[in-house]
Amino acid sequence: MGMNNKTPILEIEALNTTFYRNGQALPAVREVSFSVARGEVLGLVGESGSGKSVTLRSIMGLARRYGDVSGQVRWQGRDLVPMPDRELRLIQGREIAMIFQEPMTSLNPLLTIGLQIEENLLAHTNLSRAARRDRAIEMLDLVGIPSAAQRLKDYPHQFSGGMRQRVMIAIALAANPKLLLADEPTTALDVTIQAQILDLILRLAEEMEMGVVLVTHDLGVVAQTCDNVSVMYAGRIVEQGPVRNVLREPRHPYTVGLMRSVPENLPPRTPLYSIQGVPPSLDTLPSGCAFAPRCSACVEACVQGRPDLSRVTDTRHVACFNPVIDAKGNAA
Amino acid sequence: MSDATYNPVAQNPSKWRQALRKPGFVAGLMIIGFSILLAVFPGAFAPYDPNAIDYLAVRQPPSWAHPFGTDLLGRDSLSRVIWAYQVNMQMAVFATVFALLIGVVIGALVGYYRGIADLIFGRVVDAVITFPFLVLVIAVVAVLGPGLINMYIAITVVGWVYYARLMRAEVIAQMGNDYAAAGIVMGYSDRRIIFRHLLPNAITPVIVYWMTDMALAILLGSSLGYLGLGAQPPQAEWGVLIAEGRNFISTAWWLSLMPGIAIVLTGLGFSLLGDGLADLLRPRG
Amino acid sequence: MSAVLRIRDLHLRFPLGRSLMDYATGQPGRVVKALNGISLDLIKGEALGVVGESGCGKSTLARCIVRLHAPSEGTIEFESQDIFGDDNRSDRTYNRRVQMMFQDPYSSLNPRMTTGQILAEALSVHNMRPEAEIPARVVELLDLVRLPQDAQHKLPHEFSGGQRQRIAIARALAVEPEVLIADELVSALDVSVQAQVVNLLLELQQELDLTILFVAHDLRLVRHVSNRVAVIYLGRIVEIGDSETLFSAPAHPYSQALLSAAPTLNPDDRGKVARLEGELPSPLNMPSGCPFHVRCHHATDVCKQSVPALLPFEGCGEVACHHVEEINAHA
Repeated sequence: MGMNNKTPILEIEALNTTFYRNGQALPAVREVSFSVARGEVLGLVGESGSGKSVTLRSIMGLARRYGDVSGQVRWQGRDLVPMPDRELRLIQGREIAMIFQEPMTSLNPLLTIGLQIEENLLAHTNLSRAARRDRAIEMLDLVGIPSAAQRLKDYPHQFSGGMRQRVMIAIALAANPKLLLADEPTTALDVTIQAQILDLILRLAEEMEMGVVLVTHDLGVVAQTCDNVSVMYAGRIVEQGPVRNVLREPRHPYTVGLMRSVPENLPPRTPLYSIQGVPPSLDTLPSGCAFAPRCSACVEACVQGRPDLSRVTDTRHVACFNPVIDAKGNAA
Repeated sequence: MSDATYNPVAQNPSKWRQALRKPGFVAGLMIIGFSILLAVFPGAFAPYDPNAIDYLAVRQPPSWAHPFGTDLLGRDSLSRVIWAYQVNMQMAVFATVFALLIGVVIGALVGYYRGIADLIFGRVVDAVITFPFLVLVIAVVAVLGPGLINMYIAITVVGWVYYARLMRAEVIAQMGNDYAAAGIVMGYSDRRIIFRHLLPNAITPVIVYWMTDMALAILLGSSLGYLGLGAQPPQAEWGVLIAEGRNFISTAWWLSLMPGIAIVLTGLGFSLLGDGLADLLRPRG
Repeated sequence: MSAVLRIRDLHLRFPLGRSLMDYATGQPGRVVKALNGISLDLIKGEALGVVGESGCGKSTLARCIVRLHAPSEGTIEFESQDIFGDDNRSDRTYNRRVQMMFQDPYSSLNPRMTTGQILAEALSVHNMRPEAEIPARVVELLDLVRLPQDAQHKLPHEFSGGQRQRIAIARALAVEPEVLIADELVSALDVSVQAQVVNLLLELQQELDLTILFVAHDLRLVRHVSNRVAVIYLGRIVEIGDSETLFSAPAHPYSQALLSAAPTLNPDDRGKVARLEGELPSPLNMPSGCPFHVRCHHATDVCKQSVPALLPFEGCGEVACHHVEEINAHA
């Protein structure tokens, strides 16, 4: 994967995000480190409560309003974590854009979509009014909305779910960002529409030389879109590496379990592999490895201490005392 | 085990503990608790017979002997205000409870069955809410004649619509939850689904509204008493007491002020209680 | 092989807001055509999968079967009795024998009743057990869905999504049904929890000899659970047949597109997707002819004019497509 040789535009190191509820600290994200290069698509995959969305919101400076964020989020050499809101705002939306799961609620229902694209351009570019309009049409065109010029005057409710997600992408990308943070952008959509939107994101990432962090719970989406993947569990990255390697030879028992829970290439109506139990809640995390209580490969060390994310090959990192050695989790 | 009645107190003891930490709710509980005591045992609290006339002590200002002063017939104002609790608290209950019961049942039925009954109900609501409540009630009293019983009837005839409207909206919202559909699929009777499943989940805002409505009922009842359409003198009732002091407002201000304070205090108590109950009755999760 | 449920030419039109004036003048008002002539047999002991995109009518079909909706036309027969017939409409034994489980584990249980109360209610309403034996049966049911005994004293909010779905399954099983309708039973759950619930469902089907209608949008799950599959598009079945055959060689162009759009775990499958253009048309104004023709690469004039019938196609079950032979000859 040539992507890893490029210099990263975003480098995250030891990111911690803590929320508080009833005076209790909830460790939503712990020790998360990864980097993204231009043109690279990185998948952040995990189940609900794994911290994948919070990680995204911490990068964007959204999480610090509700909790404590520490560690480093280096954006082209500058650390975003201690950056004042005023400066951060110049980067949000202009250099780093974000799209969300629910396109209906993240668009303003009272403004035409033309206005919403131009609003972004007004905030982040010096384009003239006419140029902004042209750019808005160009963006709608780019994301595959037919007769773009006419649709500028339409309101969000006049678009279907898939079209709304396209509009949201058009708004996000209008100012030509270098990084796109996508939070489950296709979860609310049907598979045929999901395929269209993922295609679109991939195409735009390539054309605009844009880095993408794609948060999803679906390993299939990761397999079909991402270059690299980080698997998260209970706020930590448990496995990291190039998608092909990770999916061919998953090392962490959780990754193996996640892959084998998906009924693919299995005799029909046979029992599915299932990870016992449920993901832990953040207020009652075990002191050792958070996955230990559900893990079939759990050994004494897993209960005693927590494994660090450590390098197993040039490109692979795993946080496990007893990693899976053979490729039995392989789907192919 | 088969007895599935919902008992919020038994199920959520910690919620009660939480609610009792809120000063507003505690104050409301105390005000209304004390008001009920006064209403049930006025004789135990009133220092004098409320109807004992004493021509030698007419319109006396507040003193140790008569903390609220005396009225134009020399009756002890404090005793009259306390005895009025009996009538006014009774108003709070009787002017609302029938409207509540009728409204809840009709609202639940209309919300559950919808269809043409719902459309007709919608027109009834439109018709009722476009008229000022007081004017409608006065119109009904004018037809039936003044007096407490007629006042209760008048308020109920108009008031149930407000409860029904609230209940209908809440039942429709609850119908959006699959547990209602699950009840139908389980083959449960409509009655069971409406009253066992939907109603306990839909009733909270109605109960909260009921608290406010009791405060309004006291206000309305004393307004009618003041106008001579509700309780009739010599009965001690706050509206009647205020009306009696009306002509002496500059010389014997306590005659109107003390019952006025009683109205405000009880109204406040019901409102605070309603706020606290809203948190208490909401299901968790 | 006998059909437990026989669905014939089922149509359902939802009226959109009829005013009092409309009632008075007999105006029908605008309608959403949710089902457009579905015929289907549910065979005893099978698991029949129903797939399609959101809004295609698959959930509506499920809800019709349990009489949450009444069809505008067509019949559903259970043991040769029309379940919407005047005599049978209020027959509650049908509800006992055909049960349904819902998608949203957070709304399908009454938040004010404990698990024990929920199960006991089902048992006592249908007189499944004498009153005295109900507590023991509640424990048995919890055990059946692998929940601990003390779960009976807890309220729904104390459980996770997966556990709530187990409670919903236990409630359905309390009345000892023959048919289970599972409407997106696991789609709100995390992947690792989905597998647990699917395994439970498959085990229970074996153990209790259940017939299952498995409605879901996740094709991999449907393939795994079902013996037979029906693909629905805009309220019509476009293809129905044996699950393995249909999934390995779908014949209808829509089935083909749907299957290839589902992302697999194999990164080498990238770019192998038969791209489907456009989106589901609104059921408010249905295209004429074949409902799929506006998105279909193979559409010709005949597709715009006439609705293709669901006909047997060599070794593939039944397919509703005018060009099924040419399409599958190319492939």
